[in-house]
Amino acid sequence: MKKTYRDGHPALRALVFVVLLLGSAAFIVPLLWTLSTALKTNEEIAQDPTRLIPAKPTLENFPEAWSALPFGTFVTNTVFVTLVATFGTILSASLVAYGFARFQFWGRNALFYTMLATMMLPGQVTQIPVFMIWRTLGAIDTFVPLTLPALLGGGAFNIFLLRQFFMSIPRELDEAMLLDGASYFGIWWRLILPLSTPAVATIVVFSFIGNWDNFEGPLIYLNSPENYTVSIGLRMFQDTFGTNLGQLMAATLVHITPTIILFLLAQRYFIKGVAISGMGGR
Amino acid sequence: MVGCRRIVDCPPDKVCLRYMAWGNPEQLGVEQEMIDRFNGQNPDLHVRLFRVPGSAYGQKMVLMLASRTAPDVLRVDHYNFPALAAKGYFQDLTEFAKKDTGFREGDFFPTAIDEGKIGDRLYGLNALFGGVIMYYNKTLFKQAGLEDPYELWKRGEWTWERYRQTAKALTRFDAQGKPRVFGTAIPPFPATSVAVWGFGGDLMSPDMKKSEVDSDGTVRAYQFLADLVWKDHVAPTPAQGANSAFAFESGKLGMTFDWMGMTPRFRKVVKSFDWDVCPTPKGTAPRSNVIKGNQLVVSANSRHPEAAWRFIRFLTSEPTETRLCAEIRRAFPTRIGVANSPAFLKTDQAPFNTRAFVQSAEGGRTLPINERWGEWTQIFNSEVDNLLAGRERDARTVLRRAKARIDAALAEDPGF
Amino acid sequence: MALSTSVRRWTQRPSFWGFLFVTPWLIGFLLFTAGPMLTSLWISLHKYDLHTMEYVGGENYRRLFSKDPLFWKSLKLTVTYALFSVPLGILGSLSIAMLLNQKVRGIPLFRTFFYLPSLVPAVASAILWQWVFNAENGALNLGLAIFGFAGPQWLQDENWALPAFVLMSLWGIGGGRMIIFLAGLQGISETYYEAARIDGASPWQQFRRVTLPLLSPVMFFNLILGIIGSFQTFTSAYVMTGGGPNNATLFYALYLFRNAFEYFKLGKASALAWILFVILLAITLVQFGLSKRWVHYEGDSR
Repeated sequence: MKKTYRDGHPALRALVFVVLLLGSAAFIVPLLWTLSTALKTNEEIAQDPTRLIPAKPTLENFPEAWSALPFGTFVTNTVFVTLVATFGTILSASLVAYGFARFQFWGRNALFYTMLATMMLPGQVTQIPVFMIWRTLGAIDTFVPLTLPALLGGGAFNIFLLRQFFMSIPRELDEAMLLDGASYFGIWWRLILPLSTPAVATIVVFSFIGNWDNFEGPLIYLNSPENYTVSIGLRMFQDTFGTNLGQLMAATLVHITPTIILFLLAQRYFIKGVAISGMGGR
Repeated sequence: MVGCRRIVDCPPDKVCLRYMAWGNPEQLGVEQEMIDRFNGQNPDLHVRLFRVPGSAYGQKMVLMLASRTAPDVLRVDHYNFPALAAKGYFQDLTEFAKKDTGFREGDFFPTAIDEGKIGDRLYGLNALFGGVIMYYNKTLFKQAGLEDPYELWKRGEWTWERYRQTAKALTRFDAQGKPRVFGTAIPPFPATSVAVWGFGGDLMSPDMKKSEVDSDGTVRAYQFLADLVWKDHVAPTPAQGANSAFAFESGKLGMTFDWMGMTPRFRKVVKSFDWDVCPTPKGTAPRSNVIKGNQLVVSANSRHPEAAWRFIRFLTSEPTETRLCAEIRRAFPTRIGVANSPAFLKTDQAPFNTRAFVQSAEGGRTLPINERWGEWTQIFNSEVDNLLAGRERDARTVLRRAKARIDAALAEDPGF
Repeated sequence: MALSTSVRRWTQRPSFWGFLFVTPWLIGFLLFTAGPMLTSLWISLHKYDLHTMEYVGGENYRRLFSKDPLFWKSLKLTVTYALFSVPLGILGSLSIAMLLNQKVRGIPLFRTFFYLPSLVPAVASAILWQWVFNAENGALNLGLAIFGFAGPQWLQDENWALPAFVLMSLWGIGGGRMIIFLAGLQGISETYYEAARIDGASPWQQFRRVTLPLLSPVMFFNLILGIIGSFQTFTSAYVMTGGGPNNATLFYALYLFRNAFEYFKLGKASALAWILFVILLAITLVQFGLSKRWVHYEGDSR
């Protein structure tokens, strides 16, 4: 399946289309089950959980789920946190990655490896100390622990990813701009970022989805129900006495809809970077 | 600006308390109702409810207790209670109880009060108390022409062997040999202790330093349970029972052992068959049912322990228990008076055998829960799972191995 | 006067700027990460149950290595899982990324379909997967039955539970890694392929000579992250099997979590964490060393 067709060969394109169709079907099946469960009454879920087409489809789970908890507030909170964190992540991660990718300075490699190393220690053992730090700063039950880290680099994952992309951009382009008198900030803003549109779009998608779905963070740092996010709300449907599957699936579907839309919209940024080609043949 | 929002929720002239409990949205709605009533009756106090999703409750609770940011009043699952109390997280309530003239230990079931004690100091008041009871599908019983098990129990004939025969009569397979109805299902641990105690066995020595899981009674009990699945084929295998395929509410299960607190859920979800409750089968030991509660505690870092005590008293008071236990049936009352009151015993919807709840509680024992409960039950269950999942057939071998591993773990320094 | 000149000389050095750009991360690291990491190392040298703390030196580590069979079992199955899911995942996600890189009608929609499983939050996902792996009437065994195979018990079978998790990880091949590959593929300029075609290269040669080398930075990223991620598998095991059957899916991170939050053996849990840290660090350093041979950065002539 490792073909690199560009255009032409209509028969092969049709084959690709068929493969895409089949693959999508396979990947979409679990989601169809989620949809079908969301449309079932609780009795039917109890009696026949694995049936794909509900016998008595109903929309009651959706308004019930919405009114069971203050989802309006949850959504507002989640939107706020997600937007701030995503925006902050793109700005700071790209800046830091630019520093790691393009510059030589004392301790660069050590700092880079240290940054990677922060991903290697399981979070469970740092949870309590980190919590205590935020508590000393008086940030418990605010959105600060969920948003400030985004401005301070946005996470090793994003920095590492962008660094890899930036190192693929030919240096000659930088040097050309420097000769024209651009500042390093200018190079970052006007050359590196625009040429990395697919990478930046990727980070936007990941960051948005990551923050939108983030459960651990809000669970640990938020106390007042007015501050809760949607992911906590979703978890409430699962309790010790049996999950209310219908409402959980309905709420889940509504919850992932914005991420689906975002993903679809982000597609137009997955375009080929235009002028990456080397100056002169390689 | 970056999300520095702080919710100021405390009216300036009142003492504010925070209360943390788990539950699904509906159950938390009831909690809020209780809180509103309390706030109304106590104008100098204001209680706020912390809602935490049940599946993450333990983690959040531990984090808050460890960082001394815990709410004033918490509901703690009894499985965790001894371990957390040992860390000094909870207020000693003994003095509050002594000074409170309205509080009399005699009003409560002894097992309920004792669960909240560490040594002879009181650290928690029991709430969401209850035990294991047997739910049965009356419609299936009628179709199989079987006598009502509660009648059998009243005559003393509801034994384990009778239970097995009944399960056989209820189980039905279709023409291809696939199961249509199962007579019963193996309950999850620790509800299986009903069988263990019923057969005269035990889980732990009285001092809880050594396990007794290889005793004759325990071995017989687990062999009985495993045989229900693998020899008699009257209970689903783990694979067959996965994804609630034979859950009680599906109507495909004749009898199931479950907590008393499941009643509201069954009331809501079961529409297609008649059902009722009955105590678990009588074994050789006089008291063999499992009872267990959850403790309402005051956190050690609370600044208003007196007010918190008043709130806990309210949550375990007669009117509250009448609402929670008699009307909604989410739990069994800790107060003897409420349990025997007409409000609790009279009902116009299933389950109708309300006295069975009282009889089950009276015939119950508490589980051997101490600080090491989490550790040794993990070992125990992973071994027993081999037996119940059919990977091994002999209970004695499995339980001997379990005992060896549990004893080794318990003998170790707990910090390691 | 001299001060401002030397300041200006500093700000003209590229290395100053490079360091400056990195400072946001550095600040965050020093404030929020370094301390907790060192604290956990400190705790690993103690017996700590959130109440009393007692120094024991390397005792936690010694006990893990010599007296704890679950530690070895857990480590072994986690490594096995990584050995299978990482290469398969990279292969799979690269293939799908290439598939989704085509100029076909409705490609954004197809990409979304493939990405959908990764959008479903963990809890709903776990319930979903329990249904898929249901031995009696789950989608997987039903599908196998169509082809005449009798599927195993999957999550209830000691030997098939871990393979089930590997399979589950493959569902994510339409997910994050794929997107990263896709972004990488999109970043390869068409002119390279044209040049190759002019030289008479076949599609396979184009793939080997153009795509793979130019994709190598991104492949390297996916490799490192894939390894780190697979070693830290937790939520799915916690929700779906609780580590069973018979500890067949007791992933390392789950064992760690249990020791920390259920048994309150925080010294032991911290020791477990640092052992994993050392393992991952070693693997990553080796990968970085090897990467000089096969990773090709176009913009890095040093």
